[in-house]
Amino acid sequence: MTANHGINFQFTDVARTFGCPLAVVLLISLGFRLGAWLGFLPPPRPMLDADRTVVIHQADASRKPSKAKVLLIGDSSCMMNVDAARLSELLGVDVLNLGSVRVLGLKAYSTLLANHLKFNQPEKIVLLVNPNFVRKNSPSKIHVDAFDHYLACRDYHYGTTKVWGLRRILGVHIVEGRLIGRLPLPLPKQFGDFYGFTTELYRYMEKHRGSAVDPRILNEKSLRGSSDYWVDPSYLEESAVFSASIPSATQLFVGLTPLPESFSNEEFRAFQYKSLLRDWSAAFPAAVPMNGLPPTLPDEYFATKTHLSPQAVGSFTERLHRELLSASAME
Amino acid sequence: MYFNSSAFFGFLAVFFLLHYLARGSLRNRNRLIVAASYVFYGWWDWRFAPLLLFSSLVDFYVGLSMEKADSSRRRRLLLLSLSVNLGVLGFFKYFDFFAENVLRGLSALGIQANLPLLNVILPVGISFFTFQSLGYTIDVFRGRVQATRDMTAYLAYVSFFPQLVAGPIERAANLLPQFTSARPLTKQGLETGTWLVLWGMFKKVVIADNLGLLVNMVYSDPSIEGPVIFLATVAFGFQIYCDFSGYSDIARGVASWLGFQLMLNFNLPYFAVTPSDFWRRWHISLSSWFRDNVYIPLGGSRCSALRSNLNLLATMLLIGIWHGAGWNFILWGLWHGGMLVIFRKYKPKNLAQRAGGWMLTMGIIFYGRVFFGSQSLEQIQNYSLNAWLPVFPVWFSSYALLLAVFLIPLIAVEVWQKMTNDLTPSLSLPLLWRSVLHGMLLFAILLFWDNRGTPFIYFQF
Repeated sequence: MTANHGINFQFTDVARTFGCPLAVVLLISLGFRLGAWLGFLPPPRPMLDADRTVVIHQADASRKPSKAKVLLIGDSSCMMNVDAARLSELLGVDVLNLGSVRVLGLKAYSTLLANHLKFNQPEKIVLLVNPNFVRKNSPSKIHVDAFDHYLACRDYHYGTTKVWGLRRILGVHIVEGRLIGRLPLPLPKQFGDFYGFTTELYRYMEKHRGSAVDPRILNEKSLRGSSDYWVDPSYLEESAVFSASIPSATQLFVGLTPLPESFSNEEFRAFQYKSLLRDWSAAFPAAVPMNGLPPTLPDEYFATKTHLSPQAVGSFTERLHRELLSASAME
Repeated sequence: MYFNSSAFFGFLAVFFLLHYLARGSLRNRNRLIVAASYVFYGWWDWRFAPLLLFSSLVDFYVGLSMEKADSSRRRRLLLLSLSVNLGVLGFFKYFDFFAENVLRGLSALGIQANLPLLNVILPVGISFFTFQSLGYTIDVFRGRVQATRDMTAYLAYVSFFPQLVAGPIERAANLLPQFTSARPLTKQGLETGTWLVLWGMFKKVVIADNLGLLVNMVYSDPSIEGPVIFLATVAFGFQIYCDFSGYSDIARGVASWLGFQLMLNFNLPYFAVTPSDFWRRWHISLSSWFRDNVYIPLGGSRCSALRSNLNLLATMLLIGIWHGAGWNFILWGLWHGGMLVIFRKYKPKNLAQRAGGWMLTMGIIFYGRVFFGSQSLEQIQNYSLNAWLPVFPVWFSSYALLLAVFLIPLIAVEVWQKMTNDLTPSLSLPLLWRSVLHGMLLFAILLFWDNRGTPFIYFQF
């Protein structure tokens, strides 16, 4: 490189300007990896968004001793549609809600249940999911990995682009999961308005025995899609694993959360719901189906296609309470 | 293509390679800059690239024609340039605002009119490149610069990709000659550019984008109450500063890597001790453009106090309107104009006065942010009245904590810059410590990198 070509610096200048900071980045990366390996850094806790906060809360809750005699478990409709504290009042016994997110899948629910049963012996377990969960077994790798890695206390990495790959090589995900994930991070849109930050969502769930509410307002455009329901056959193996961990002294109740009226048709209300519940509960040996839960509710009760609005949670919790009493009596 | 996207770095790598290959010829390098700049601009929406070309060509020929013209023809040519540039800007940016307000006014008078709204997309950076091009014809008209005969150099001057979409709005006297003379790539340019790109990227990716999440939590709700409005307004003030000055720093840094020197656009504005001090430090390229082309031609301060104050108010009103078609921007401009008038004579001398002046100035600037960030006049009114109510959301402490976490590094570096009176202080450090600092900035950028790239706020202007 010579001045004739208008470049008045040497290759060593370029190497110094760019190479030395890159070397520092590598050293920082090495330092974090070493710190994680030696245990100098706090363990991973990647509460980086609402879903992962829910997953981490329920993973934590499942591993704590609890006085709960009734355990609710299921998808986000279980978490958002039932007020565990209110159900506790109505039943006169402690209730814990381990409902999480649909994309975690039944296999992860089995893990949550197994963890809970290591320290606790509930009298009743209620598996509550939405018909949409039953129709398609579609766990997301990102969520399942986040859950598995958290339980195993391992650093978690997601993303498939080249930049994400670089982040992984440099150990950026270690800092994200172990340090940034511990900061209160703002939640988007209505979740931000209602809960504020990830830390507040966690505290809310802690205070409400694992239940949360969906603050969104129903968007009618979301009420599209097929309204035919069936049980995804791929659940059969997972449901057997789920049932196998339940002690014989514990009753398992299986129920479905309601759909908005305008999304479902008359056939669903009259026939399909019953056969769906029957087939779904048949997948869990010795499960008691909760036939008295409403298949549908008016649209104004909903925040999304599967979640009730906070105002409607109370009445659904009371319906669940009555149904639990009646199903227990029949049993 | 945003600076904070991997696409930009791919683009830059290809560009630097071609720039190196074209090292034998200045003209080829300028051609390459023009081609790359149009690719860069067309990346958003190629349909607007001809608009950029049209605006540039009109001003290029207007400039050339002015050289040979007599005084009255020069005036007519200037009028042509003003009409074309402000016409384009008015069509894309202000027509709908104007039409909506006319319709509203007529409706209030009971007259039902039918004025069509255009709903056109605003070409990105239109206010920046039209003002840069217009500034050239005004400078030629006033004899501040000679018209260039080198069309490639002129097209490169208007479209120069580092500063095309969000400034600095360069003056022909500074930038244009750099396209026609040797511009060696130096070690100092390399080092300065690296600091500017890293620090600018840190301000954008780490600070501004995270503060933006905090700002949206509050400013998306016009009915919110309590001191969280103060915190959100502080967050917004720093978000917009880090976003915009971050862009300017990256622009100046990339230009520095190419051997150019762009003008300083921000000079630690939140250290200002009077409103006029603030405007000498904030968006310097825009405020100096309006000073030279509007305020001074109106008479500046060389007239009666009343006239001079009116000149100031009119200039700030135009600066407000430049930012966008909305009453909030008009009010924001008037607010700053009013404060400049009121505190015009205020010159703090000792430390206590400077501290008082700083607090007062920050109060004025940050209250002005409420105008800037609000979506409606009702929101401005609600925030002005309700910020004082003792209402604290459950997440108030988390909000304050996160705000502090992201402001600490900014304040630390800016205090360092202020104390050393050096905006590139890392370059004075020994190689080891400079590398540590640059490495830490790079790691933080990677930590908060969002591959999609969050748009820069000033692109909308």
